Amino acid sequence: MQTGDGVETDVSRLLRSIDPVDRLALTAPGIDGAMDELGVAITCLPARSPRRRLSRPVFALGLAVLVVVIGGSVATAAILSAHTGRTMPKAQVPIGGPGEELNPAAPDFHSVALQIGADIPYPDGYGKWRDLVISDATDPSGLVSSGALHGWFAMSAFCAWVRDWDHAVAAGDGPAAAQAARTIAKAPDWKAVTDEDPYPDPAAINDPSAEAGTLFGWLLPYRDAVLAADRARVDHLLATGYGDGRCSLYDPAWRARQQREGRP
Amino acid sequence: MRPAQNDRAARFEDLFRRTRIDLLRYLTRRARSPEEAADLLAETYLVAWRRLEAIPAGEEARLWLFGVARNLLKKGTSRTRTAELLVERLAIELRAARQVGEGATEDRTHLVRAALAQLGELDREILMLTAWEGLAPGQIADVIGMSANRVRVRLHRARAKLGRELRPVTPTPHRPAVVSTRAK
Repeated sequence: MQTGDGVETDVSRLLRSIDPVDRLALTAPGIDGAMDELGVAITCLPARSPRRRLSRPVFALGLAVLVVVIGGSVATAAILSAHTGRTMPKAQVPIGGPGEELNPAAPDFHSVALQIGADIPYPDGYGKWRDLVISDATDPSGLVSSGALHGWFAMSAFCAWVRDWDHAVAAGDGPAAAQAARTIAKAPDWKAVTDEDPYPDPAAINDPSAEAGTLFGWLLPYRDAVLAADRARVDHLLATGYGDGRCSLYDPAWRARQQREGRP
Repeated sequence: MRPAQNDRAARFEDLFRRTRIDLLRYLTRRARSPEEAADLLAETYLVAWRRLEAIPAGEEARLWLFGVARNLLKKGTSRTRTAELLVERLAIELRAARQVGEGATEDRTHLVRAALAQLGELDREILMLTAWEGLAPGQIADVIGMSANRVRVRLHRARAKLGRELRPVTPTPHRPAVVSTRAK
């Protein structure tokens, strides 16, 4: 009877013998030239594709544009309170988020932001993560919607719980891991999430070419991995930056490292 | 172009030069037509251009590109063409190269291809990545998003299955014909 090695050798040899490109001159000058031109053409294309929902830095840019559209009415509100009393115009909601327009230049913005995020739980020891959300949103040149801010707290807290679960599992701290898992399981139902994304739909994992998922869709693969107690999968998602790298972006330690290394 | 953009373009160019033949081979082996191969090559590198910062360095960049190309292949060809005229030109060149090679096609090729077609997509891909792209299980794991151990197991089973499918044409002149039992 043929051994496993024999099968391996025969099959591999057969496959190699029918390799369709062996007979093709793929390095012919015509192909080379065509590829040269294609490569140059690609570098002339915009490096960023439009996305239905924008990542945080781009969103900030969107807000800057919004300021121009809305005009100077912010200046008066800034003196009084972060609450402007204005609801985000319907047309702006897909980019700017729902809820009230908030003025980050107002002196009470920090406390208003804390109130908005009050229903979003963070694990113990992750206060800096909440502060980072507020600090990121405190852009005096722009406006931020209460819905977007609420959503950022939700994203940041979710990532904090994922990290907390990861550390708890690594440390063998069962109760802490269980508490983190319970919170992570509920996260997709947080109001901050459902207000902006009632039907979260994740982008495919390991598919950089896939269409972007919905705004909070990326939570689901993390949640599923945690609920499956699959630490390797969680670590893989974190390491590959699944979810447009948000779990790094919201991590103050990661941001500090980036700054030290002179990266934007 | 600003300095940062220049750096980006230079990095892309380096990646493109290092990997384009391997990627073209990968796509030509799997695409249904030269047009599809050319289109997917352009789409894959467009993804690479847009996500340049996410591409790992060194050899892993090639595996990353294979992963993107594989996903694009699975999605089919209903995509917007990038730089359409240039893609068309590449397709014409590929078609010309294919016409030269087609004369050498043998019956055995058809038999092996038919046997390959009996396998599941993933098993087929693992076999092709091994035999044609020359990748090791750990590298295949990176391309298809599976653990190296699972790749090894699937590779072993896929080889055995293909071996059984090919038994009549497998060159075993020094061994008596054996009727194999089907493994699980």
